[in-house]
Amino acid sequence: MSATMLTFESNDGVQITIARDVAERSVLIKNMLEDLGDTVEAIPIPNVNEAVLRKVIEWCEHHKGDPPSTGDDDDSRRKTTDIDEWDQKFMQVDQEMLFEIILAANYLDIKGLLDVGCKTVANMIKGKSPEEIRKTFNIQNDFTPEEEDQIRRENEWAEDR
Amino acid sequence: MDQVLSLPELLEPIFLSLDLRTLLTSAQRVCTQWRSIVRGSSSLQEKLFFKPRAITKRHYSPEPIFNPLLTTAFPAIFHANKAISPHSDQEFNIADLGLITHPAKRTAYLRPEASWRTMLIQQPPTSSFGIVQHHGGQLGYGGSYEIMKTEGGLRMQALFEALFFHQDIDAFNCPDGIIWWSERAVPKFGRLLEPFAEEVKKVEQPGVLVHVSFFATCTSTESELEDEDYRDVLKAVQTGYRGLGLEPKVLAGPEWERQMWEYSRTWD
Repeated sequence: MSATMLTFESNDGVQITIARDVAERSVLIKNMLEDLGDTVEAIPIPNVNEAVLRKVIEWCEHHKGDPPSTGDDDDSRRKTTDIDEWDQKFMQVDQEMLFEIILAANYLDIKGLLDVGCKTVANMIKGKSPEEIRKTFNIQNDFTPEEEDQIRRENEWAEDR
Repeated sequence: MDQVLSLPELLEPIFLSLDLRTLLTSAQRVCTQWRSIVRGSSSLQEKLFFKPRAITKRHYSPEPIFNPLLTTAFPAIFHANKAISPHSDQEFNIADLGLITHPAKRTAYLRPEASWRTMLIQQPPTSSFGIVQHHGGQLGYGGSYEIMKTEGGLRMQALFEALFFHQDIDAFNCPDGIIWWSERAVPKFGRLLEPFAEEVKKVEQPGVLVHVSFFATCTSTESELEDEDYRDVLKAVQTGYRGLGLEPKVLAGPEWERQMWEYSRTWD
């Protein structure tokens, strides 16, 4: 019989106990539990700190009843940048936390959360000029003026009028 | 830069969630890494209509997805496309093109490196298009039907240049309409291709059909026969090409396979 509650330890040494079905939203953890069998020890999550881990668990709690991902990474992502209301509120965090959540979702293999994170970043990029995007995310422009002009000329016809 | 925005495996899904316009005109210009991710990703190149999307069973859908950047920039060409404007009753107007309605952007449109030229019109792509022409005069009537086919998928430049540089199309024989293949368009395709029905029975129908006609009456004068809208657009396009020292390719090249049928009758 498998345990219904599991304990995890964040990389800053905090232990958090949650229900197994919530934890299994993470494909990484699900596979790990299959390999480990029953365990009573705290499972270390070496890449994620407490604050981020709590956020991730909050998301998994809310979405524990969602149908499992089909593994088809094509359709849902492509069709829309709509994010449901709860997820939008959930993602109202500072940029650093947003990126931490995306990295944790990627590491823990939680597809739904990764999708919402990517869509949130996409919405921050949408409609912005290259310079505005660089400013928003603090990115260095490493094009030569000629290179950048070349790309601009190719796509100028599609720029917003 | 933050770690997330430097990891290709995370930037790709972020870009897949982005709208086409921002992806094409802004994201690629942010830095060299973003550009190489956009250029190097098959999924992103498919999303941007540069790379043909394979028809797989999982994605099979009877209705193709039309390139929204092209349908917005060239409304005249997609005017009769019910998949895009199901309720449009407006008449076909060849002047309804971004490069005509926004003269300030004409050079941006016509320059040879403009990216719309190499964009696929739809995903999955159609491989062929046709020009059907009907004419009549005092002595008789006739017509021709040409199918142009390319394995790599129909890209916008080919259709655009056929409309403005094809030997069978001018201000007298100007396009009456552009019809897009769909279940609902079957009767219309049938009517226009009726004179060629026997010959083309075994030929695959093209994804888009340009319909050209010219009927003179004995009283019509030359200027009445000329379509002014088309003449003006043609002039603007041709002047633009000349100004840029640009030669239209008009389907030249080994990738094109062309087939043509003709008929002519005398009035009985």
